[in-house]
Amino acid sequence: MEKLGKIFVHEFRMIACTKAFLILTILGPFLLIGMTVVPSLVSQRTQRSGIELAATGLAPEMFSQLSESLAQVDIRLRPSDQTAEQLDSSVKQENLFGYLAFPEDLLGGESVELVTREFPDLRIVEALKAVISRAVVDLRLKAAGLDSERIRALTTPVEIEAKQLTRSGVKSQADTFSFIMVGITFTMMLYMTILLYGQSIGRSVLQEKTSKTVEIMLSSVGEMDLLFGKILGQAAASLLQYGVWIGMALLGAHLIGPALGLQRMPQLSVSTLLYLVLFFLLGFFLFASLFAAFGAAARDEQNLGQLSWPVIVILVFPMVSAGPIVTNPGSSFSVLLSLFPLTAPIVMFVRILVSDPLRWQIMLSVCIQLAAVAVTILLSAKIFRVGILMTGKRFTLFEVFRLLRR
Amino acid sequence: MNLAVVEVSKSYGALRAVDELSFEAFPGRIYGLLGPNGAGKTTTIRMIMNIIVPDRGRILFDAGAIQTGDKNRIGYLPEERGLYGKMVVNELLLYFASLKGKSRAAVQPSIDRWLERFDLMEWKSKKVDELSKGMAQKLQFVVSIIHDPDLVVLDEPFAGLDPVSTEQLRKAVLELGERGKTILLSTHIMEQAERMCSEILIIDHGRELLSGPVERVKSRFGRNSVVIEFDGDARIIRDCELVANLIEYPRWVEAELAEGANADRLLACLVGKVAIRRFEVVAPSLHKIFVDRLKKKG
Repeated sequence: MEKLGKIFVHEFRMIACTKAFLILTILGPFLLIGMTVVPSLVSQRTQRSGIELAATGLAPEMFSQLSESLAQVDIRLRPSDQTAEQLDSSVKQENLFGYLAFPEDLLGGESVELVTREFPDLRIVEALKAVISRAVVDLRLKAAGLDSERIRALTTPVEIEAKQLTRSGVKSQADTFSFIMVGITFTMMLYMTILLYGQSIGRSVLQEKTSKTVEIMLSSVGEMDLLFGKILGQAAASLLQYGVWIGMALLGAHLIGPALGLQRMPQLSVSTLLYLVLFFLLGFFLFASLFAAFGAAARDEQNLGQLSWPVIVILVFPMVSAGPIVTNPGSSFSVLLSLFPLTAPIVMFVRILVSDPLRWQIMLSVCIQLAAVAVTILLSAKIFRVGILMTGKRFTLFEVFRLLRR
Repeated sequence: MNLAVVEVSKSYGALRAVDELSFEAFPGRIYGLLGPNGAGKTTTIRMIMNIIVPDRGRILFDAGAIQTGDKNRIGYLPEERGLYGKMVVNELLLYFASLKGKSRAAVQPSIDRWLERFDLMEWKSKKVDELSKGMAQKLQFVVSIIHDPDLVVLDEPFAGLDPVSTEQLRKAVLELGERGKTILLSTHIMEQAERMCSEILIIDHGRELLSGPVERVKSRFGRNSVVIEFDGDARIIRDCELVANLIEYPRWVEAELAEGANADRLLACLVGKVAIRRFEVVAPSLHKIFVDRLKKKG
């Protein structure tokens, strides 16, 4: 136990006291946000402002009404008496972003032509459609002698306010967009960390083998001390990193969450965060012991990659299925994945995060994962014992499992 | 610490790597485990170090099976060298000593002494990756003995070392023997073993070929060899009918006299044909004994 502790401390220091670890700890959350939230944020924000369109064929009173409404969505409208050919020429020469050609019989239902040099952002088209339609409908109502304000008030659509009633009785205001974003972010986070740390263990074991330090280590300590010292050292470094990330995520959600449109975050309660740590650890130990076995059997980095890919494919599965899981966490598909040991760490946590799964399902998932971790560690320890001293041979995955029979 | 290997065997599939091998090593003596590459030396050592488990037989430390604390009393220099390249030399030594149960305070003076002795003191705060291959090899030796073990197992310790480092290491090993440590020295270089070991075991294909105290092993083969240092054409010695077998170097040979021949007649035969610088009747070298035994066996 004493030697296990020394290897644990050594491994932790070798990982945590490096610049790479420090950089990843600080940049990790930004990277994660960069991969999940930013693309949608960027697409929401781009090309919305500063657009100027010429308008041709529009009556002056209609022009002032439209330009006022469009100014509210950052689209400037300027009148033009040029011909379509002249306007086309201006657009081609990039003197003009684009123009709107209004038909003579606008109220009669003829369509408005939007001409731009680049394919226009769909949101610009939607904004133009909404503003012009409203103005045209108002004019039609007026022409029919009806009060447009009164009609609008009478036809206001009904909003649906979704509320989640959990088994513990807490009602939380659910915001679908927030749920999806947070669910996908945590799926990504679990996937990336389990994969990153697991591969790190595999490489560390492989390095012990290729740098020939393993023999001198085994002359001082047992192979189980070496294996678990490595895994626990990495686990401690990972938890430290996780702690920093969770802290930064909570702070970030509090400070910039509203700006990102996450008005109502799903409740990140203490129990949810404890579940996060629990399922991370279950996933970590499961995949770390698998990668350790592959590291012990592999001849080089390339061989390690070849041995690891089936496991990575399984690990990727919950990530690519994140959409259906987050939007329908109670489906048979989601429940099945939350009980299958290789996908359970990610899927069960995401189900807990976005819904309120039955308690027995959570318990069963944890029990299955604990049993899987125990079996995997035993099998990996055996592969580690045999493989770590075998050099020069390039194993296939099948041959690695044959080592179990030795 | 007494080391006893009793009828130990180890197979890998159909290959019998070690076959019923037995020997004993005692404190204050250097025991040579000799044999060509692939003879089973490293497998034997790995079994002694409890890294791999024998299929049959026993390995005893002070007449008992290995105990939890015994690993702390053993120092091991493996044939395949390797250290943590990113670690600083001093930290590396402290780490390995701690795995052998030594505290930082207890081992630091010893680290300084050994680094000084092997001209590595100025590298104490440098990363292992910055050391030359020879320096790393000396550091690896220091790792194996820094915790002051009772049994020192050295697998090919001189491989790849320059003459100055070889001499430094040779002296250190002899000194450890004088200090009462039990030393097991594995090598395929017979001359080295002959000069350093008090007892030897020569193995081939996992089996014992010869064993016993070096002088007794050599005397068993009589004094019918002649060492000749010369300038001239070696073919003259090779073709001489008084020579039965010859181990040949450019200006040096070890000749086994043919049956009925004697050294005087050989000397007379060579005078005037080659310029003789040294002519000495000796017991056959371990190298010669080993080669002859292999030939007979083959």
